Order: sequence, then C-alpha cells, then structure tokens
Amino acid sequence: MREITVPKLNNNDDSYVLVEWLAQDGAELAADAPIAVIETSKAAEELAVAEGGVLLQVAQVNASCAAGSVIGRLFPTAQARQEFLGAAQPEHRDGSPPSGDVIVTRPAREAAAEFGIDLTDLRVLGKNVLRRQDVEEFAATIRAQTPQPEDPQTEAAGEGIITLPAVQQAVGQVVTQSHQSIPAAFAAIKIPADAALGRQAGRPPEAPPIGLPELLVQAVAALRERHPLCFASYRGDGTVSVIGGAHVGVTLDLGRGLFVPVVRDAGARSLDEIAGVLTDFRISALRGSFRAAELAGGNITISLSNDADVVLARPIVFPGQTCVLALCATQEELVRTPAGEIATRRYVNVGMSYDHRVLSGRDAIAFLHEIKRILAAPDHPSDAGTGDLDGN
Amino acid sequence: MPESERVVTNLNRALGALLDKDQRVYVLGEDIGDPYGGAFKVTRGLSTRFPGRVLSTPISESAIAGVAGGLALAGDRPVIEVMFGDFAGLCFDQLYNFAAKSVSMYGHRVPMPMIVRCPVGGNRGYGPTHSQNPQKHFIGIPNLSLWELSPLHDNAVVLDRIMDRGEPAILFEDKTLYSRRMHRDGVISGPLRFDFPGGDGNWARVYVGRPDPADYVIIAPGGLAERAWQAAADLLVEHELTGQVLVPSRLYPVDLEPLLPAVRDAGLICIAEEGVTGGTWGAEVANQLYGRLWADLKRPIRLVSSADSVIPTAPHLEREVLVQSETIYRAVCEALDA
Repeated sequence: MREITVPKLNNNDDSYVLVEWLAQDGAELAADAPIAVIETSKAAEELAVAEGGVLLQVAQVNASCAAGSVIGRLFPTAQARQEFLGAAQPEHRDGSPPSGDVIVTRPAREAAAEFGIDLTDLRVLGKNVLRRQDVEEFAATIRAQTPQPEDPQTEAAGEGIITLPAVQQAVGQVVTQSHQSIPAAFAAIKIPADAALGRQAGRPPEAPPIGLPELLVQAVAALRERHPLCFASYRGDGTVSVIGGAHVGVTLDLGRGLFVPVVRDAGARSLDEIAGVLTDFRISALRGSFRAAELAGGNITISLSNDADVVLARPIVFPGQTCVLALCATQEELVRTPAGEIATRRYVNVGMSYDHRVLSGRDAIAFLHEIKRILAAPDHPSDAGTGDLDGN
Repeated sequence: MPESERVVTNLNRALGALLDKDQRVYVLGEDIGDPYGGAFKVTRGLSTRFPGRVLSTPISESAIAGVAGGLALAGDRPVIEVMFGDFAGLCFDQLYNFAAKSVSMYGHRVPMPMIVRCPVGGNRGYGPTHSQNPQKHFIGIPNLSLWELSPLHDNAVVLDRIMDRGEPAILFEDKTLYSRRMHRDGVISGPLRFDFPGGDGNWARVYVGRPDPADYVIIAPGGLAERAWQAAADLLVEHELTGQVLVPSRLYPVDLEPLLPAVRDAGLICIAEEGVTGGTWGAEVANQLYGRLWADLKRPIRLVSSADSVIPTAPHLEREVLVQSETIYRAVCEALDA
C-alpha cells in the first residue's frame, strides 16, 4: 500500500482544496494516470500517480488538504484494498483530524490525574470547556454517589438472607480474629487542637493539606524509639517481635470499603511527604484501588474517626499489632484564660485500644500524653518529639 | 459536513454580486483580467462575466486611484485593486487631496462611493516592500473610512455597507486570509463561537463556549483575528483565563459604542494589530477607550504591534518581527501576571 500525498504547490497557501476526483474510488489505475484536481489560491493542478494500483479515496471533494497530507491510498490489488478496509478503523474521510468539541484546560488535566478520573467520563457533564473546578466537583459527586457497600438500609425493607459485600466479609474476619485473640483495653485523652489546626494557615494552595491526621501520623512515628512495645507484635509465648521503623497504617473509608494503607517509615519522612502520601491514599481510597504493597507491613494503626461530632471511637487492635489510635472529631469548648477571660478553643479526643498482654495502662497513658504534648506544641511537632518529655 | 467557502471565494462572489446588481460598478487594477485573475485571484472570472467593466490597467497606482476618483465624481462606483497595499502610498495624494475632500469641499455633500482594495500583511516571505500594514497612515482623514477583511464578516454585506456610505473607503485584506475558510452560523471550530453584539454587525465577538464575564478582551482586526483567538484558546487551556476577541469590520471611524458593555468589566483590554509600532490604530482606539472608560479600567490598555523594523524576507526573521499568536498570549499573560 502506498499513500498518495499532496505535493507542495506554492509558498502562499497553508492548504489547498481538493476540487475534483478524476479517478473513481476502487478504480484500477495505470502509472501516470491523473487522479484529482487540487486548487491553490492561484491555480488548479492535476495530480497523477507515479505508479499504478487500485485507488482508495481518503479525502472528500471540497476538503482542505495541506501539502503532505494523505488524500488517497494505492493498493497492488483490489483484494489488498478490501483487506485494508476490513482492518482499518473508520477513517476521518475528510482527511482532517477530528475536531475536538471539548477544551480541557491543563489545570483540569492535572486534577483528573490527581483524582484518578478518566477525562472521557467527564463528557457526561455536557460542558465544552472543562476546568479544574469541574473535575473537582465531579470527583466529589462520584464520592457522594458511590453506593456504600455495607449499607444495610438498601435491603432492609425485604426479608430473607443478604450476602454481605466481599469487603465487609473481609473486615468481619479481621475483627473476629482480633476479638477472639486480643484482650484489648482502652483509654482516651483530650488534646487542645488550636496549635495543630493552625499549621495549615499560610500554606500554598497547591501543597497537600496538613491537618490532624497528618500531624498525628508524624507524632506517632516520632515516638517509635521511646515506645517500641507500641510498635511490636505479640508472639504468644511471652515475647514480642519488633521490626525497625514506624510504619503507620491509616484507616480510610471513602465509600469504596475500608482500607488501611501504610505510611512506610513515617519517622523518616517530613510532614510534607506524609501529607503527600496521605493525599495519594485518599485518591486511591476514592477509586477503591490500592497496590498490595501499600496495604502491608504496618506496625501501628491510626483509625480516622474524625467525622463531625464523633466524640469517642474504640477501634479493634489489628492482629499482629499491639495498639491502635482513634482520632475523633474536632470540637469546641469554652475555657478560662490565665487572664481570667472566657475564650473558645478547639480540642480532639484521641482514643487508644491496646493489647493488655503487652502494654499496661500506664504505658498506654504515657504514650497518649506524649502525643498530646507533641500535637499541642505550637512549634514543629517533630522537634517536640524528643528532648524533655521524660518524666511525664 | 461540507466546508464553508474560502475567504477569496467569498470576496470574489461579493464583487460579482456588486457588479451584477449595479451597472455603475467598475473594477480596475493591475492584471486583474482573466485568465490571470489578479495576483491573489480575487477577481478571477469577473472580466469574463462583466466585459468592459472589469479592466486591467497600466502599472500606476496613482493613475488607477485618479481614474476611480473621477468615476466616483461622475456618479459611478469604482472598486480598485492595489496589487500590494504597500503601494497604497502612491494613491495617497489622490485619496487625501481629491477623493475624500470631494465629499465635502464643494459646499454641498457629493457622494464619492469608491473602494480601494489593498492586500496587506506578512508571514508570506515577501519581504520589506510587499508585507506591510499601512492602515495607520490613512487614519484621521475626513470622509475616508477604513475597513478590514475578516473571516467572520460576509463580504457581500461589507461591500454594500461601504458603498452605501457614499465616501471613499480602503478595504485592507490580510493576504493570509484568502486561502482560509469563512466561518458561519456562529461556529469557528470546537467550542469556539462568535456573534455580533451591537446589532449593526460591525463588531464580531469570538468566545469559547459562552461569552463569559471576561478576564480580558482582545481587540484585533480581521487579519489578526485567527492569531488572537488561538491566543485566547491557549490562555484558557494553560491558565483558565476567559476572554473575548472583538473583531471589527470597519476600523475607522471607530465605533466603540457596541463594545463598551463587553470591555467595561474586563480585567484587561489588549489591542493587537500587525502593523509596526508607533502612531498605530491601536493607539487611536486606546485613546478613545480611555476617554470613555477611565474610571472603570482595571489596568492600562495593552497595545500589541509588530516590532519597530522593516519586515525581513527570511521566514524565521519575519516571524520574529510580526505579531504572532504567542506575542498576544505573552502580552496578556504579562499584563495579568498569569
């Protein structure tokens, strides 16, 4: 198969016009046979084929065609032409690229990549210009509309046997194992949150957000050296095994089921890095897809129970770990300042379920107090994680 | 979908219609007769259809303009072609001291309907004396109106409108437009749309999707219009900046009234033209806008012109001198700090 292209006919025109096909589609042509008339802004030119063959017309009459564009194809036999037609995708017969009906801005493309949204899905919006805001709103809509896999209301009206979603069945196995094997105790602490919540102020909008989850991951990781038993695994024979580093699992359920992705070696990461990892995790949770490696290897877990108005949550201790922290919702209270005035401040409750075979109540409360000290510190929390915290 | 006609075809058809409906119309110019049909083929076929009224002339722009002025004074309606607008300078005295003045210097108004067609503009590698935009040299002459070819304005309407003014007029025709397509039914391509705010059809407004409240407005004559809306598309894609491109058919006298609602609220007004910088049409428009909108303007009006230079023949050097879509894009980005 040979392509028939338009030669450069002058310096004036960006493109010419195919005014007439002189040879019919499918015609068997001899060498030097004239096939089409191309009109420039100054003259009409007859195009001929150098060698013979069977013609397939590509460009339509009255189409614009630039120098070098393909207006037809030549095949050695009619059969070869037929085979090509059978194999080819439907061609844009006018020889021009398909005109895009929709303009997608660069910020919108970036947002789509960020949220893992296929741009073609956005066609349902019926917009001819897609901006970043459209993508963000679309992502939020998807999140809201995704059916809750373990929502019993959907079938409660009927009677009979309901099969739980696979994700919920898997959760069921883990919690059963936890309850059967881990004698857990629980404690909770109240932590002033104004300092931590102020950390986001002044950050550039493109930077990943920093809130209590990010700060709590960093605070927990900073305590790895001083509280190794909180990061251990009970072996059942009076011993625990300890692995290096703080690998902090974070529970995320954004409608596609519960996932516990792990921030690997969180103690070695900056706050910005932790925030970036958590942002990626949230997107993956939104899509319901994680790589297996992202979900494995945690040695401590934070359960994010910080939905509005949650006062207390008592998570299960994951088998293989010795404790789990629960971050509850931010709340407000009135306090009396040292000057005797009444002020509003924000606080959170952080709960801790722990394997009582490994950790004593004293251990757990010491751990919680150190977290409180770090989160409530107005300075950089990682600085507060070391130094003068002994003796609490 | 069948493609719309090319600009050169549209202009040819408009000239044919003018000749067809009015016996007083003559078309004069160098080498405009068949079979050559003019350097840019605008008059192709017309000398065959209208023998005796479409005439090739000697090579003297001054003489052609002088004959046209005489025809107009005698009640005819001449259209002349100056093969390259660069040579309109040779017509200057005939227009400045005779044709335009004749409208009003005899104590009563004398209709002088005549059109001087001038292919102008560069990006063709034609060099310093065949690539210029001499529009600015003709601004401010009483009773001389200036017009510009555009892929948005139907030339049949434009030629009628010019003739109906009863004054000499120059129609500047960016020669890169001839082989482009006319746009019709308010659609350019993809989501690019246009309409004619103001009712009289003089100003075309190009926008993406819908005429949003605009971050910026680009005012650009027909030859630059495509480069301007390319810049607007790029500004949208890269920076999510929403803009409008406003394209006049008549350059002068400037009629700003239909524009004021659109430009009043814009974050930036940018006026682009291909002519070289200094004493420009854009400066005239900006001056009038300042007078009308001083209290509303968010920032200084930005003028975009070609460089203070002769126009080089070598394509890469010519490109640097002349306004391109990137030139407009950069100017808007700079002014809006995008």
